[in-house]
Amino acid sequence: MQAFPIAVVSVALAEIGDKTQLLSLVLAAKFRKPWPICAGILAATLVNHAIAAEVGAWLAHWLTPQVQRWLIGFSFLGVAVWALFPDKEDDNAAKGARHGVFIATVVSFFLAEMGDRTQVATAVLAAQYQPLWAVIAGTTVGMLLANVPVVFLGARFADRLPLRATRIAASLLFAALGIWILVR
Amino acid sequence: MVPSVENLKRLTSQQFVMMASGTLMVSAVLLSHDNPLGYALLLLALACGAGAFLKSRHKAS
Repeated sequence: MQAFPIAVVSVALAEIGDKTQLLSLVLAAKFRKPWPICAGILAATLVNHAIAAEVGAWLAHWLTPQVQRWLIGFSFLGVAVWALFPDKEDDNAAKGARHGVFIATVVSFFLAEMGDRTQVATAVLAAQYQPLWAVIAGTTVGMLLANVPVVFLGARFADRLPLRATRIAASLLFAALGIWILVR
Repeated sequence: MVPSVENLKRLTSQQFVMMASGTLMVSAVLLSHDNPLGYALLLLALACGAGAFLKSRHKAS
């Protein structure tokens, strides 16, 4: 059961200062309805990370142990480097609320999460750790830990986050996981 | 329509990351089956990763 805590900590740290956290801030400022925004983030993350985790676990079945070790190890190192660089918010994100705040959040969050570092991290974690549900639950809880306070407290909370320190902590964690997988 | 350099310039860093991830996965499967084409795709994945980085830096500046 080490999959769950590793997934929670790594994704929560990687999410701080990430593009989707900035999107949460924009959504909170624009709609001022925290509950449907949080529900939208939960729904979008669950679906997105379930797909990413399924892809990661499916891929692991197709690889030889040696290739799997190199791929996962270097992917963790790649995410470690990626975590060092802050994201910018997408100007086109959080468009319109014709279908309600919940749907607007689900759609914009799902699209922003595609190819995001937390989605890539989820796929890599699922390729390495079992059971799959623990990885999905862990990464989703990690996303909520980073995003829910931002939605409820807004810029007051986001401005107080030690972005540089969390970026370095996330990077060190992913680097440690990568090195551990490569050298064990 | 033939893809051109202009098409590449319009790609976002997010699209480059998705291309890199997909290419890396196919490359890993090919290498697992001892197919040397996997090395070419690995290089392509690295190029897409570099493209994503350069795009994100360009956007940040």
